[in-house]
Amino acid sequence: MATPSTIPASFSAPQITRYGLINSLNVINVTAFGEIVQKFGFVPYMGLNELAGNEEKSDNKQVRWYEEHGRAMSFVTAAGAVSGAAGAPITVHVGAGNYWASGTLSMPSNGMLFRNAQTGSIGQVSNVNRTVPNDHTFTLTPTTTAQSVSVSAGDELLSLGFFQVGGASDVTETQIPTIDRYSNYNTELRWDTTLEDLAMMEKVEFACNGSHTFFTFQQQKDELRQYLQREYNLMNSTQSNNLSYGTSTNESGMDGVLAQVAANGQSLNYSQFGTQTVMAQVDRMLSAVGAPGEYDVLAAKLPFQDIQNSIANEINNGAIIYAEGTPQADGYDIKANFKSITMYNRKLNLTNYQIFDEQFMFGASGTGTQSNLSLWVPRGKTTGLGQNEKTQVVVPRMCMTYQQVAGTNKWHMWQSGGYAETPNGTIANASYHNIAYFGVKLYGAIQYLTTFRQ
Amino acid sequence: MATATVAPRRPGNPNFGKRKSEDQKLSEDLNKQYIFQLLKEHHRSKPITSKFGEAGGEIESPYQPYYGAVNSGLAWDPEYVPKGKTTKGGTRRWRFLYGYPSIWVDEQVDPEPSKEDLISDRNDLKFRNGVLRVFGHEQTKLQALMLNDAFSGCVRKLKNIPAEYQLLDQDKIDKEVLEAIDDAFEAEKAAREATIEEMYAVGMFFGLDMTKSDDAIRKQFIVKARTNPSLFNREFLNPKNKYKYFFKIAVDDNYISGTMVPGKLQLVEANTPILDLKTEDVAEECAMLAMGNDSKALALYDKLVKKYRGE
Repeated sequence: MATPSTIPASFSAPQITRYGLINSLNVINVTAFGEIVQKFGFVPYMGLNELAGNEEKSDNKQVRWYEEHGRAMSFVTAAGAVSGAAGAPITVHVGAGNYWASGTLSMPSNGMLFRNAQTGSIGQVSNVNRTVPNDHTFTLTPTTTAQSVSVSAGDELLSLGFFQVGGASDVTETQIPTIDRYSNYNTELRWDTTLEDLAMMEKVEFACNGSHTFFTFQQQKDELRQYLQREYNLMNSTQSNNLSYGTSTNESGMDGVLAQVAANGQSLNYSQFGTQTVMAQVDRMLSAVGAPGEYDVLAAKLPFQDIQNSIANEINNGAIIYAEGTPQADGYDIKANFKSITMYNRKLNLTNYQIFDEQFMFGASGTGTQSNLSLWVPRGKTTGLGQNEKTQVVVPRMCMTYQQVAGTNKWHMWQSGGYAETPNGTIANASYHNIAYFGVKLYGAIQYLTTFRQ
Repeated sequence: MATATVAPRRPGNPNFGKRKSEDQKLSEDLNKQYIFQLLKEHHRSKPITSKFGEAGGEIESPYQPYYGAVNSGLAWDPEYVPKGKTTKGGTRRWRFLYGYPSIWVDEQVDPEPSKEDLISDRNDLKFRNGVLRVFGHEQTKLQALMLNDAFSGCVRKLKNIPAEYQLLDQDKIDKEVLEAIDDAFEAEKAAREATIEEMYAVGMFFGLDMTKSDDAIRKQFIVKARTNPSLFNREFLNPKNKYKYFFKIAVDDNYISGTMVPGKLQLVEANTPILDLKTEDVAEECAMLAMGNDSKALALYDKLVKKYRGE
């Protein structure tokens, strides 16, 4: 018997001929495709966000949004090590990454107090010198004579603000909070199917879903295929600058969720999942960015099993029996499918997100990079600027954007060819076209996390 | 690491170059900071940071703000003799465990690590804004970062994963930056001090508009030097530009011609052939011949130099 193969699952041809028709009908569905949601409990996370109304029509290809940068209190790092005696001032160079406006501005200001996070010592700033861009200096003097304010390279100096500024204190410099302007793009997704007339003649040999015509069936399949691809691309897409359209820098594409997390979020690698080790580390990382109390964990199959096994093994040594039936009946149905776990005051909703699963989605070997990936998505809404309910901006954690090019629909579909509903060609065929323009915004990307089993 | 250079001793000077004791060297190494930096930059996906209400701004750091490297796994230990074998070298389980003198799991037995040891935040290998600094005295942390499969300098990788971070050699970086600054200085100095002839010759290579005034050409010339100093320095010293310049002005001047007799370079006034041509670009071909020490091309070049310099 021939070994059934899952590849190739499709191939490219100008149009569906007789042979292609049978393939396209996919008479017996042995793959995950087709009934992915009903049969395998697939959660189209991006699709659900869309259904929940987390979407926005965009007039432009580029979409922008603004977020507050950093915290109410801020810090700078020391560029190099400087040692100083007790009570003696030292000259500190502000480290890289603490500048803006082309290296002309930085936070330290005369009179400001800094607490060295690494040593605990406190010093006051004077003689701020901003003449050399990207190499600002200031004098740091210990606030008590018995203390030294020596710094090592990379020490974090936490600003305590203008504190203990002294008698008859003078006016201080204005501190201007910074904001971040994020941007992303909408990009195009297209799917076309062309049937030649012989294939259309033969369609009558197949009964598709009772009285449904082949066209309905074909269209449903195309839509599902495209829906899955959109889900995948909204997660995986990256901005491009090497495509052949226009000049090499013209086409922007979009950054999917993973690309935005890779640039502006967090990532953690582990070799072995432990409920108390990895989750503790995750929790520390999330706490460091003021993350909310509930997360959706979208895990590929392998890390999903890791998480499940780890909970079963580590929590009470797996001695809990999870009953589904009643004791009066024939014993217990053991169920060890953990839907969520609450640890360290944070609830994690556990989902096997097949989109990341190269084995499930593509029938590939499952040894690729994404088969080991989990994405941790913060839940709930986030609030923006504003003082009260009326002025506050409340946004979901992610928002799908779409464009309606030339006044079309969100998903635009049309027919063409000699056998189209409104014939518009001389060739005896019918083409079905699906097209959509999508993008995604991640609000507070720093609170998103990817974990990767290495 | 940079090699320390010792100034030659002069009589009467204290011996500053005296060799340091082993203890001194060790304590210097222990206080040294090692800087690991992420490799992947995300310029296109980063937000623009700006002051309130103002347009513009800049990207703060091109790196992912938080990155946690794997802190346990399998690694190749060249000194390890696996059970049942006599030769050195084998895979070994490692785990960065704060407070233990070894990173090898089979050696972390005295005392047996407690659960608290295992879950301690001190075992994290966390990069902040793309950087992780480690002191020399954190020997096991250094080891954990350097035998990591994600480390660009990992001697023997056990997993087929892309390198995620590298160890910065501060001395090397300083040297490179210094060289770049020197290059820039040399290039600009050469551009400012070049004679008109040198400026035309090298300017031709950079495709400057020679119909403009000398001051305008000089301005463009300096801009070219600033834009790519190393290329400028190379081309400034390249004799081919000088050859090509003289051949070109002679062609423009109709003193020599490659079209009068097809396939021949002729002296126009005397109507005598000088050499055979294979291409239509007379200046380029003659310059290449001169570079290759062709006696006829060099003789013509000397003649042209005398003619146009008025010597």
